[in-house]
Amino acid sequence: MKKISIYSFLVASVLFTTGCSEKNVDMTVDNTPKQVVDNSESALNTIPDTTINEITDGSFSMAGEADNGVYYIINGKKVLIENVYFGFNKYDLTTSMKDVVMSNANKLSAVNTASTIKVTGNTDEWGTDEYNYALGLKRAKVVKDVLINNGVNANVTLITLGESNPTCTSKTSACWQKNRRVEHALTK
Amino acid sequence: MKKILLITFFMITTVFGAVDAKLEIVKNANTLPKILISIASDTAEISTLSKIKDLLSKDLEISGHFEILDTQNILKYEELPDLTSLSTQGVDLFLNLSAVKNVSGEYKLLTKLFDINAQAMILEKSFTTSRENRYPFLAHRTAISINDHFKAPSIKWMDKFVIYSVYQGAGKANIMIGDYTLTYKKTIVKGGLNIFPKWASNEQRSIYYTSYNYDKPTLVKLNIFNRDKKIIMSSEGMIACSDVSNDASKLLITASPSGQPDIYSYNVNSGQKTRVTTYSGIDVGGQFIEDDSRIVFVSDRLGSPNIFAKSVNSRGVEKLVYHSRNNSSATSYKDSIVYSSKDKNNELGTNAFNLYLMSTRSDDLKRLTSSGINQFPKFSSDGESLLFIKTFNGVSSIGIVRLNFNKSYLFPSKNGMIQSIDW
Repeated sequence: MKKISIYSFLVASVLFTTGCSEKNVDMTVDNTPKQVVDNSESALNTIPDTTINEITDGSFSMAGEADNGVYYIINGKKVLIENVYFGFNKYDLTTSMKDVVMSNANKLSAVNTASTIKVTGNTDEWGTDEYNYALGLKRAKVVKDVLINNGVNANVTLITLGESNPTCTSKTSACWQKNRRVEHALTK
Repeated sequence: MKKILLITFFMITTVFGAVDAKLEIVKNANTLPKILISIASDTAEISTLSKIKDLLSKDLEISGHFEILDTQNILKYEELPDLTSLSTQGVDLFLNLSAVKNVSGEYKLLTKLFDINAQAMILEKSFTTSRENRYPFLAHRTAISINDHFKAPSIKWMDKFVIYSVYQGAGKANIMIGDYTLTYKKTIVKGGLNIFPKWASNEQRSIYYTSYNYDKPTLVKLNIFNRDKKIIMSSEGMIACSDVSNDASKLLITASPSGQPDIYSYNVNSGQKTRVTTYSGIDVGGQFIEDDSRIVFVSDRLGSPNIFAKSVNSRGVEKLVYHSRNNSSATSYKDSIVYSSKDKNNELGTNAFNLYLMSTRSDDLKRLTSSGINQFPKFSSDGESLLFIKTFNGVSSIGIVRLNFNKSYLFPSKNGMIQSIDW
């Protein structure tokens, strides 16, 4: 029994000794010069340059055009309201274009009810008659419906320009595809 | 021997029959009187007269009632032509042109028509305009006068005004008036987007058109002579006058008051609107048929645009065209309907919208054009000619189809792409 007690004591001693040496290592680290972050000018380096904008009055301004839409600053935040594109002679939304409209709806939901979102339908040059203007209108209408059903409270108006307002005038399929679009414009 | 004789007999009959058929065609061609048009040597108005001569030649050719000779025979206006010489050249009719202009700018076209076979002057007429640049109408009136003298089927449609809209750039279109060849043209409405002009009546004094210069697309009635303007109807999304009834009392309007394009009937006198179609897709381009009790229209109710008919006052809808799955831009005259159809792969290997003529009383179907985008077909008042817009390689032209002669003619627009047209 005594033997056991002696062994236990030795083991405990070894463990204690080992623990002490680890503690010593930690203390070595702690001894290096420590940076004080509180109230230090250099800490500003780690704060993001962008500001947190608390404007939520639905104010907006146009911030430039892109090939596939228009940039607006809505509630102080710059967002791209993307054009929505359609297939030949189609006015239904593809899955990817539905995602675009949903994304637009999310951004445009911040626009207040006193403002107007003008949704304009356009077509390619094929079939330039009343049907083409109606096709542009149906494209605008399907986009309007998704916007309204997904949190957009602003007044949404529709208009069709048929083939009268092309963004691309080359005689190519890629060009015609760009013209089969719905655009958005914000007005107060 | 009998067999040989029989075979020989059948061979001769067959050959004779074939020759006879060919002879019939040649004979028809030969029945057209040959006319030689000349400008008098003693006139000072050569420049405009040359243009009149060219237009007049085209008019008479388009009439299908005359063959135009290209030979020269020049003499003074008061002289008699050399009848023997002209007869030798195969000339049946000789038309001599001259003109005088007075200080106030009035331009008078003088014409003398000689019948070479009868050896007599058979028609002497003058045609006057207050402005020289309206000379195309002098040419058209001369053609009509000569045509009427021979009591040939009327070509009075040549003297009608054409009203059309021309794109001037993105979101801009002007409304212009012209003669049917677009040689004469005058801007009536400019600024902004002005489209779908339509004559308000056969008198051609007022037009309906769609203006985008208001809060919403707006249908405007404009008297082109005194500039009286009246707003007929506005609609969010779109509005267009598709047809005016013969008595000018009713309109068919495509409008979308709730974002849904449908056809409405509009009573010009009472201002009452009646919704004629109620489909949730696209219904456009209504045209009155059968004494205005029915309409033909374009709808995508079967998945793609096609031509349908319905009564104005009942719900039933009838599909009219079973050829092709993409048809639009229909117009009608009595039992005949012309529509524009998308042909995927035509002989030129490109997409095309071609015009087809069909009858509501038979299965006859005839293609009238072969390339480009052909649309806005519109029958002449006598149903014998068809006006349309052709766009090919980015160039717009006005086209005339002479339905009874299987001939068509194009007059390019030098002002830009034509949006729509009416005559």
